[in-house]
Amino acid sequence: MSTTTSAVGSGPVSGPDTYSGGKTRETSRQVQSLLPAPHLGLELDAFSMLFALTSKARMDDQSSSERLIRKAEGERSKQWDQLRSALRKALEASRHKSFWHDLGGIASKVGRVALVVASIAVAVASCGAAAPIAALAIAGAVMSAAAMAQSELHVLQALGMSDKDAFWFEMGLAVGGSLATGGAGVGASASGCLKTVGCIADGAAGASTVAAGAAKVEESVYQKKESYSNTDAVRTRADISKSNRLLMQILASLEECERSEARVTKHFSGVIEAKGQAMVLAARA
Amino acid sequence: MKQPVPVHVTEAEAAQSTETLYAAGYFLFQQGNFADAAAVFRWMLQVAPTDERSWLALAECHERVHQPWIALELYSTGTVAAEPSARCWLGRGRALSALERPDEAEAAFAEAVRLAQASNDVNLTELVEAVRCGS
Repeated sequence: MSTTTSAVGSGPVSGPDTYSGGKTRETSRQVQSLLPAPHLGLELDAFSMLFALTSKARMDDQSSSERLIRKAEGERSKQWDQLRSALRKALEASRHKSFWHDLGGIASKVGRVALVVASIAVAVASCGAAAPIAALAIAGAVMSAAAMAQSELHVLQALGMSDKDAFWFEMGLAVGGSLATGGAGVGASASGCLKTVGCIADGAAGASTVAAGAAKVEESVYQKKESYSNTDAVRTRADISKSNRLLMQILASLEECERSEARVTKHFSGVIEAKGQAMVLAARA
Repeated sequence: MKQPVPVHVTEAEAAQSTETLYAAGYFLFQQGNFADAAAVFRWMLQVAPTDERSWLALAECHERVHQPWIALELYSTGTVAAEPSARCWLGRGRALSALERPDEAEAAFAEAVRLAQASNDVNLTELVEAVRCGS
């Protein structure tokens, strides 16, 4: 499927790539986004709703609501800065201790994720013609979730180290190589999908075994520092979630306020109309 | 054992869900909240696995958190699941370029150019050229 939307966004600036241990190039330039802008014509899309609500609040001079939103946003921004700072500290600390420290644990988790993917995808593969694509989607989502989780929590100890990068790269090859090169076979039959799933499980599980076998634990003063920083990061993330919930509650209140206003207006219209009719009847009498 | 209840939605409802998810994810992405955006795009991927934007968006989130190898796999899968997708080929080229695999990157860019020209979408062709030159 190809979209024809032409708008191109430009995301935040990407800094030097410190996460890949020299495998990737420095990317100090602005990264151009490939994403087309969303279609905003639908009534319920999040963008329209958000803008409509904030705009309505402004137009109706609901300054208190606006203040609350700004406060929540400001709070979120502040917390995001704290999170970044905590992550930076954790990353800094991680550079001073052995990469192998937590690799054993990470590797075994990856192996488990692969098995889950395999079991889900096998179940999907037996359910119909669209199954191979659905299996790809599930596999992609699980791989993404695992990688994102690593990037946010555990992988901090290892990011920036070439061996770790090599491990993930190998894992990526095992998963994606089989997906990408499946090509027509993947789309054509469930057996292609099953083969793909087998490759995922075998590849990742194999990598896990090797990596777990190679892992060593090295205690150091930096480890303690890092765990403190990670705790800060997790706590700040929880605060951000709380702010987001607050923001959503405010938006929901605004929406309810708007609905309530509409109900009152409708009620007044009815009253005025009734009053008008009464006056007409009175005049006739 | 309790059997799952099948959920039937109309094509219009599915399209609306996809657009809503994309808009929400896009909003988060533009805020720089790549982890949450990725979570939304993962749902979108389940709803619309043949929509190129699902793969593109999720892959780009991983690019932004410096995981080009994960992005590469997602872009690559997108070229198969959502074909023909010039943007997925373009992303694949960019990820390969970031991983310093220039020959494969060039082949991917060439495919992106071919598909963009075939689509007669001037903006898409310009985007492909811009990204290719910048990589």
